[in-house]
Amino acid sequence: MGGIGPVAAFARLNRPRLGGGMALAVLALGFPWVSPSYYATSVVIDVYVMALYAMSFDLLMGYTGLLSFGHTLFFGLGGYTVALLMKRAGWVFAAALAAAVVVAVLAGVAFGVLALRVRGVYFAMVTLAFAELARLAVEKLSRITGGADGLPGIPTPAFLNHRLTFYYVALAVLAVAFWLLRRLVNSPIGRVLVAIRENEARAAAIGYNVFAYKLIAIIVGGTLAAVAGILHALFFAYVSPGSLGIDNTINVLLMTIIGGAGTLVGPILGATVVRVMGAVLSTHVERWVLVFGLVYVAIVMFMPQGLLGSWRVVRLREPEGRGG
Amino acid sequence: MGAPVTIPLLVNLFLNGLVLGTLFFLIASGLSLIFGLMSVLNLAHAGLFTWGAYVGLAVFNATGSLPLALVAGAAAGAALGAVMEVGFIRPLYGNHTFQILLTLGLFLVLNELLQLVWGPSLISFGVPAWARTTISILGMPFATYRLVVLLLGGAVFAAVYVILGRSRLGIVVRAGVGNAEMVQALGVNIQRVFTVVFVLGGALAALGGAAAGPFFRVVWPQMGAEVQLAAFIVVVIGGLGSVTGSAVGSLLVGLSQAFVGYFFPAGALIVNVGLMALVLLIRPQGLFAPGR
Repeated sequence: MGGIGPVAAFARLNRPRLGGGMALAVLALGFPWVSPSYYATSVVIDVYVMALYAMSFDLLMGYTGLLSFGHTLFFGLGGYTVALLMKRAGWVFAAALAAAVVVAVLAGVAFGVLALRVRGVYFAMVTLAFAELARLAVEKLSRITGGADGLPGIPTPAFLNHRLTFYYVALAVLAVAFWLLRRLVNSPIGRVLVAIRENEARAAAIGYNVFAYKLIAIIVGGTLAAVAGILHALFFAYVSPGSLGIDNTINVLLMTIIGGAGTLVGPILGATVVRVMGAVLSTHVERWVLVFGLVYVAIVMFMPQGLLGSWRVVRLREPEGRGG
Repeated sequence: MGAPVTIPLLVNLFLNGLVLGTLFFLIASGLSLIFGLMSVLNLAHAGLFTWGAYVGLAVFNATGSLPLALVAGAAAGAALGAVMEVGFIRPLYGNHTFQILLTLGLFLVLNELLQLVWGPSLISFGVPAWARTTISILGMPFATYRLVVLLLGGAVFAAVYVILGRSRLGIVVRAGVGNAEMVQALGVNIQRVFTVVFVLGGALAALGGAAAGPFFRVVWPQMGAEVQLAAFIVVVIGGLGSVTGSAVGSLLVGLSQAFVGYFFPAGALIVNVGLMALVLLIRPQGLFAPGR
């Protein structure tokens, strides 16, 4: 970017995309003021938290080609670490937050070093087993963790008690995470991750330390998932073993696949579709998860690139000259 | 832990471990064969187990016959297995990641459909009078029905073993586990063999579910998912693709669940997951993996 001035740089920018992005930003920033209800604002906060979780998952699945069925381990770990430190040990929020991030990084290292010994389907199974192990441990250690009933009454710090503040905090965290991940996937490291996804043997043959790059992806993805879990726990002032369960892994898969794996916008779109439709459907249809199951199956079979990917394909097929 | 450890207690725990192992074997053997032959990790297998249990219960309530319930459960599993393979898995052969993602979706759909029909709560499985009796083994009571499950599991293992080892289908399946393309090149319609194995695997899992209903005395929508974790552990320990491995793994996991579960109730599954992690780290292909 060194050689061109600001005007030329602006001219180079993709105008329609810039306009779309600004419209989205205005919409996101202004939504609480036009929100039809308190509940609608809550749904959108939930969308932001789940979008963060889905983006962190997509760094593994979409970019690195690591199919982890244990990603919810980090989500639950973040929530439980903050909840236990604040409620049981009486830590202040900032200290608990910092500790939870450190725990997530350490857990990412341990998880990665163990699980990366195996590949493909075995990796999926091992990671599933790790997450289940964590869920079982939380359920059995009920004297500390509250067991299957979960841990209610997390002392959320006062400044987050206001819904409007929480909304902007969640939005800001999502935006920062999006920016960070965008920097990461467009960096040389991100290129190597994609190379590993496309052809691991070749990436290794060129001389890249495949294990180290996969470990980086797991640590970064795991830490961001933990942040999502922390936000989730603080928002509901509650953590439950469900945050470590297979259902929460299925959730993130649904959002990522429906939106479009291998992109950062896809998981955000997927989280929006799944959570907003879920909120609408659940008031009308009793077994609305069935609808999602069917949509998910149809997308996996017929639109493997998700909504975003399929839209891009359609746009590419448009004749030249239109749009521009 | 107050009761003294006696020989009859140990025998009883051993038999209970065998019964649990039998249930695990019924679900794990299909999982293992399907993976060995087609490299499909079928996450919907647990759904077939649950459907077997519910169909078995419905037929049992309608007819009052437990054998008929077992047969109907297995038949439902076979039919669902056929639909899954032909309608859903087949279009995605060659793309393992999407097959796994697809089976996960099918699991969700199967589970939701089940709750649409029978509701989300526990339903008790009223077993017939003869199945409620106990027999005495070394002075300890042992439920007759558990003995039935044991015999059933033994018979199924023997049947699968004979089919794989002695029949033409078995030869083709074993060759297919080794190299499916080569088998096809030799003039075998491997696609049809895939369907047959999926149907058989589905029938076994659903039979396991139908047999598990009277064992737990209740059926519930998550029962399959709960057994599936144990089944995963079994196939990883035994080696994906090996029926003998599934049998040995099932017994190991069933026995450790029974013994550890009795002496340290909190540790049963944790020990098994630990066992699996150990096998994966030392011998990732499993103890009885087909030679590679």
